[in-house]
Amino acid sequence: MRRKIEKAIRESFDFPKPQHMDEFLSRAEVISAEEKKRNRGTPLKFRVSAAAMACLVAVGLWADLRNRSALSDMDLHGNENIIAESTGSSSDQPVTACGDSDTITTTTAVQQSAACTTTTSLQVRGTGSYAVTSSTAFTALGAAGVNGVTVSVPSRTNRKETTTTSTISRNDTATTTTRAKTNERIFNVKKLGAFATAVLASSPDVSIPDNADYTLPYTRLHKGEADIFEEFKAHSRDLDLNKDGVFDLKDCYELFLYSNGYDLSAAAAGKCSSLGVGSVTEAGDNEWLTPKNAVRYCIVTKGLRITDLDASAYPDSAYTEAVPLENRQSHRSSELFISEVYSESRALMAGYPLLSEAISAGRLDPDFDSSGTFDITDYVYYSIWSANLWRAGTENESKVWELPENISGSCAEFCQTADELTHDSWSSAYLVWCLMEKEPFRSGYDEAQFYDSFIPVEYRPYYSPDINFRTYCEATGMKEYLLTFHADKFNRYFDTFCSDVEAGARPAPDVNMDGAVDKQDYYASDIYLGDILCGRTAQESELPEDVFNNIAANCDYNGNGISGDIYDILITEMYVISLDNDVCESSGETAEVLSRNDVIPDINALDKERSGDANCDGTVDMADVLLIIQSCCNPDKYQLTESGRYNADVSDTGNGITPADAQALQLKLLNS
Amino acid sequence: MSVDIKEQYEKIFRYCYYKVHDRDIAEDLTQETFLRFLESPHYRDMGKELHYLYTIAGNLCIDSFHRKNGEELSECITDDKDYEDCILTNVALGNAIRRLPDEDKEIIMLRYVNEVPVSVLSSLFGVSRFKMSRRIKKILDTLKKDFQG
Repeated sequence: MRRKIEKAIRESFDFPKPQHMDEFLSRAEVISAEEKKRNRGTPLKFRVSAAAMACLVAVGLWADLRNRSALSDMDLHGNENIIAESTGSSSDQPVTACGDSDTITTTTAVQQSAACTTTTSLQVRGTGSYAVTSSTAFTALGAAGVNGVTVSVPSRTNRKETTTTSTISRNDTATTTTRAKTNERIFNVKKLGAFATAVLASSPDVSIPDNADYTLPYTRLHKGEADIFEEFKAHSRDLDLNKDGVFDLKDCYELFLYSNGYDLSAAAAGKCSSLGVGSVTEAGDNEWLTPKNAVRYCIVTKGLRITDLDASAYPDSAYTEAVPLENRQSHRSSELFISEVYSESRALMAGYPLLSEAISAGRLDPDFDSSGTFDITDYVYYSIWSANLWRAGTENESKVWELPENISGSCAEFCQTADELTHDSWSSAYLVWCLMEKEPFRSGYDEAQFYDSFIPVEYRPYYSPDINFRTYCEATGMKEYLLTFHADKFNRYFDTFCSDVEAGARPAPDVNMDGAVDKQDYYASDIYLGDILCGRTAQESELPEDVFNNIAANCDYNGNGISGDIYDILITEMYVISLDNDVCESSGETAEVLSRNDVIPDINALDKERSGDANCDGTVDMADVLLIIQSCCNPDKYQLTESGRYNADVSDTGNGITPADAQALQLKLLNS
Repeated sequence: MSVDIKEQYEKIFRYCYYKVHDRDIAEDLTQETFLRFLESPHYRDMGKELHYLYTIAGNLCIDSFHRKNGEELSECITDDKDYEDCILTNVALGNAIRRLPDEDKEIIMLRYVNEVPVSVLSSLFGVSRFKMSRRIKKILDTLKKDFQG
C-alpha cells in the first residue's frame, strides 16, 4: 500500500518541462570543464618544493631560536638564562659594577627589547647586613649571618637595564647574577610561529594560474627540438655562464658573444670552450649548443618579457682580433642579439606574453569599440580588420566589410604598437589568449555560426574569427578534438608508450580485454575508429558494448586525458603491427608480401612506386595513414584528392584505396 | 558523491517551480543555481553537492520572493492555490496533499518526485535522519488515510 501511495504521489505531480535545459547544459559543460581545470590541484613538484622550502626555513628559524634566550616563569619548558654575572667586593668592584665603599651597584643591560622578567641573586660571603635593591623599587632587606646566603629579587621591567644595588660590609664578596627571559609565549608557540612563517614565506612560490598558460603552437617547433630542449634542461646549471643562479637570456647573450667572436670575460669564455660551444674560429663539440637553440629554449620554457628585449640589459662587446674585418657587423652586439631573439620569437609564435604584459600595463588598449571593456566584440572587430588588411589589393577586395572609422583607427593603432612590440604579425591570434585572461571561454566561440550575429550575412563567408579560437581550444584542451592529429605528436606518443610498456610501466594495449594483444585488438580499434568517424554509439557499433566502452574509457595511451582518441587508436594499431605482422593477413596477404609490395610497388606492372603521401603534404607519416582510414570509413566526409588517391594506393596497386593500404603504410612506417 | 548536472537540472527546476510557481522564473533560478554551484570559488568536493544545490536553489527562491514582494502588484492577482492545481493532477490524492502543511508538502515533493535521499532532506530541514524518516512515514500515513477515505 505504501508503495502504491508513493507511486501515486509521484504521478500526481505534473511539472512542466524546462525549456532551455539543453542550451544551458551545453554551456554548463564548458563552465564545469573550466572550473575543473581551474581547481586542478597544484602539481606535485610544486607542492614538494614548497614543503621542502618551508621545512628549510622552519629548521633555520628553529636553530636560531636555540641561540636565543629562553627563560622566565612564563615559559613552562625553558630554563632561565644568565645574562650577566658579576663578582666583587666593595673594594674590588666587578667590571660591571660600580659603587662606593659599602655598596655594589650592578647595571645589567638586558638584551631583549620586549618586556622581560629579571631575577637578581646576590650571594654574599662573609658577615654583615646587606640590602639588595632593584631599579623597580623592589627592595629586599635582611641580615646575612651565614656564608653563602642567596637572596633573589625578582622584578619585571620594560627597561633595557636592571640596576641592582647591594649594601654589604667592606670586606665581603658579593656575586650578583642577573637572569632574564623575554616575556613571550612559551617556547613551543615560538616553534609553531616559525613554521607558520616559513609556510607563508614559501606559499607565493606555489603559483596557481587562473587561466590556461599560453601554449606555443606545436607546429612551430623543429623536428627533434624536444630532445635538444632536454639537453638544455639537463645542462642548465652548467650553462649559467653569468653565475646568477639561472640559465636565461643573459646567458644566451654570453653564448652569442662567444659564438660570434666577441670579447667575453675569461671565465665565461673558458666555460663556453669547455662546454664545446662553437665559435668563428673553431667548431664546437656540441651541435645542439648554439645561441639560436639556447634562445629558443629560453623563449619556450620561460617566455619573453618586455625587459628581456631591452638592449641596454646586454652590455655591448667588441669583436676579438680573431674575427676577420670583412666578417664584422656594423651593428652593436646587443642589437644583433635582440634581433636574433625577435627572429626566434616570431618563428615560434611566442610573442603573446609581450602583448599580455603590454595590455596589463596599459600600453595597449584592445577596447576597439570604446565600450569600456575588452570583450568578444573587440576581438571580432580586430579579426575582421586584420583580414581586411591582408585582403587589401587582392581580387577579394570587393568582399571586404568596412568597419566604422573609429574602430578601424583603434585597430590600426593597436596593430602597429603590437607589431613593434612583438616584431611579428600574430597579434590576432595572441588577442584570443589575452581575451581569455579577462573572461571565460564560452561555447560557440570556436564555431563559425557563433559569429553570424556579429558579421553582416553577405560578408559572413569571408571571415573566420573562429579559427584562432579553435587553435586556443586545441592548445588548452578546452575542447579536445577526437580526430585532431599531428604526426610528430604521434611519433613522440608512440615511442613513449612503447618504452613504457617495455619497462612495465603500463600494460600493452589489450583493447578488447581478451588477455592478449593481437590482431583482434587491431580490428577492434579499427572498427572503433570507423564508429567515431561515423558518429556511431556503443549500441550501434559492431563491437561488443563492453569493448567499445573500454576503448572509450580506459585506453588513454597518450595520456592526454581522452580515451579512444585518434592517437590511442593508432598507437594500438601500430603496437599490434609491431608485435604481430600476421595482422596484415586481413587483406589476404602476409606482412612479407605487403612489405614487398612497398618495396616493389610495380608488381602489377604499373608505373612507379607509390609514396603513400595521401594528404599530398610532401611527407609520408601517420597523418597519411589516418587519412586513408578516414576515407575508407567515411568516404563522403573524407575525400582524397586525385594525386592523394594515387599516392595512397600502396598495397595491391591498382585495386583502389582499401584498409590494406593503411596497414601497408603503417608497416612501412614502422620499418623505416 | 558527484552530481550529474543533466540529471539534477530537471529536479532543481521542479523544486524551483514548486516554490515560485512561475515557469520562466523557475528556469532562471535553476540556471542561476547551477551557475553558482559550478562557479563557486569556495566550494570543494565535500560529498554534499546535492545538499549544496538544494540550499542554493532554496535561497534563490527566497530571494526571488523578496524581489517579488517589492514589485508593484499587477491587476491580475492569482491565488497561490491555483498553481498547485496545475501541479497536482490526481484529484483525490491532490486534495490530500493540498491539506498538508506547506513544509510537509515540500518534503513529499522532494522525497518522492525528486527522489532526494533522506539524509539530504534531514540536513536541509535541520533534523536528524530518524526524525525525518518518522516524519515522512507520518505524512504518508496521513495521506493514506485521506486518500482512502
